Amino acid sequence: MTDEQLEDWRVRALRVEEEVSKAIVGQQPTVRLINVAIFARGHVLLEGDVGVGKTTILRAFARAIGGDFERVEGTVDLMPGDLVYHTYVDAEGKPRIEPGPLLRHGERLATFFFNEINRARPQVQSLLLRAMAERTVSAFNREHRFPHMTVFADRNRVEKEETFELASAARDRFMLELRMPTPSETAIRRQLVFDPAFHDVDELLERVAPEILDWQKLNQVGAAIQRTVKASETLERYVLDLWDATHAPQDLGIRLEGVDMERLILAGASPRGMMALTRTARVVAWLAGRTYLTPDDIRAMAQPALGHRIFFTPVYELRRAQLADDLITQILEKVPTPR
Amino acid sequence: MGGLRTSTRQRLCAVMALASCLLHAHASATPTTASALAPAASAIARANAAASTAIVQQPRPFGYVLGDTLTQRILLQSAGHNFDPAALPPAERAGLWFARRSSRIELAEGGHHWLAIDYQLINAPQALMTVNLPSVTLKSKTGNDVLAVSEWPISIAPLTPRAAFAKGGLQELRPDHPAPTLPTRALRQQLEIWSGAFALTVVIWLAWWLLRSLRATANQPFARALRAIRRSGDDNETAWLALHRAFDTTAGRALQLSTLPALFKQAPHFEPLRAAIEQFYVESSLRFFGAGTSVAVHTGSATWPLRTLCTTLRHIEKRHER
Repeated sequence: MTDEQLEDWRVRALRVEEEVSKAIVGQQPTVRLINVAIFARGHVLLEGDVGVGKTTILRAFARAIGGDFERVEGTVDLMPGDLVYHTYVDAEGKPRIEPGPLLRHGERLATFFFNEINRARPQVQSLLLRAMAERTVSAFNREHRFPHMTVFADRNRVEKEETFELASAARDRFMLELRMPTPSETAIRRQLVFDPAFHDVDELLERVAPEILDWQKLNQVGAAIQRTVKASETLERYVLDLWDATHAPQDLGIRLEGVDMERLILAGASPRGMMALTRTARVVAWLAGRTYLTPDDIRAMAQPALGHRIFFTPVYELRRAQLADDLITQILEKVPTPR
Repeated sequence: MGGLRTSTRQRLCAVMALASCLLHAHASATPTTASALAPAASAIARANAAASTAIVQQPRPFGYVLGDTLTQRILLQSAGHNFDPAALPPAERAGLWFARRSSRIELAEGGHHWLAIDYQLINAPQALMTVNLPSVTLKSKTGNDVLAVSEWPISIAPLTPRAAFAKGGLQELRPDHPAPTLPTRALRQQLEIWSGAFALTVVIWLAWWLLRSLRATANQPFARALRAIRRSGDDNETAWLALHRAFDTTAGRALQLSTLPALFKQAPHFEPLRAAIEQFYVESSLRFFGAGTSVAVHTGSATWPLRTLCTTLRHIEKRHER
């Protein structure tokens, strides 16, 4: 892919953000991060309160990207087979087996949206793990591939009953875990509440121009971005320093209130996590029109790429959201670059 | 002029004499003693025909100088009876030469009462001469009786001649008597000890302050960076890293271009250099992360003025160091 083509894709990527922003207000950082994940070819887990627009933003992206879209609602009685096949009795009274939501679209599946993933049983989550990591599923005695699939999952953080917390390995499969806050600006709040356009989601999504991208080329573009955007030796040292810091933050003099730092970390960021950090940072640099990474690109992605990948000991796990934020903020403040 | 000098000299002599007399009044002025009163007793005077005869013990009649005091005693008896005076002679100026100092009634052996009147010579004569003790008239309480004492001559003399002898120590004025010195050795020693202690304290404090200032100066972030730049040269990677560490230390955190506001929040005195500092971070980003981008090409100059920026930062830092 030539530089000119890549630049053309950059313009289109920015247009995706522009279009999605027509349907979503007050969530510009989240829009940018989802766009980054798409071009870094990673999956996204979105967490937020009920009714902040998680589903809407993901549907808006699915529409702007194009390709086939599938949606599954996570429920406690959902079984892995429900994703793969669907059984019913047809009009002639014969039993029929049809491909389930995961297989139905074949390689045309571009966006798989798993709503309330934490309501699904671990068996379902495990199936999804493979689908996310390998973009393949074995069924009907053959392997089904979804090379262009991006999984968007959301999880509301209010309800904890009848839910199954995602295992560490499952969380690690998501390139980014984003927290979608309730807008705080008064003007945006007023618009969301009083503008009738925001009350009808389907009508709202009509504002988003469909299929802006040639979604089948996303993998190719993603690879080109990773090849084009360079990381200097100094930046590599910075990323490795950050990685070390996730394993032993106390060595940098980091202290968190009410936390025994020696007992905080169960496991630091995984190699997959650091890969996700640099992959997404490269997309940030590319979107900014640069061909090299800067520490600011890394900083921009540290929280969403590493926040869910540092594993705390059980005593601190319940305070994850707060501790992970504070820890990464302090790591970024303490690790110097260039050095 | 000669007359004026003489007059002045006389006054000075008189004043000196008075001062001397006042100092030694009780010592030198001899009240009448038993032996001195012997001739005086023989000179018991009698009052005139209208008054009762008063028996008087007169003071010594000679040898008085300015300031001397003398006492006249009058027996309070009239016609063989006790005389009870209506009032004692008041303390007042008594003529040109004397001042009456006090009057009192004394009880003598034998039950007799004497009226003792003290006089003081308050003027100095220019030559030996006689003056009279003033006369005294006493009335009894009943008003029927009067006791009178007539004037009594005494001789008085000056303290000094009218013209100074001008020989040896007998000059017109005596040199000033040196003031007696107080024993100050202990005081001086104490003063020296405390002064020494104070000086030592000041020296120690100054040394501590200087040491602290020097150490602080040596450890200030931009001072260290400037030293590193001078050692390594402007266009050396070490110099750039040193300046980065200085910014990090000043801000209390690792800084990048996007987090520069933290620096100005922590050290607002660098705000005037915001543009230059931002430019430094842009250049540094190109240099360290720019994947081979040439700084010289980018800026159009051979070297970026790192030392100039660091020197300015150091000046500002020095002005604000505590």
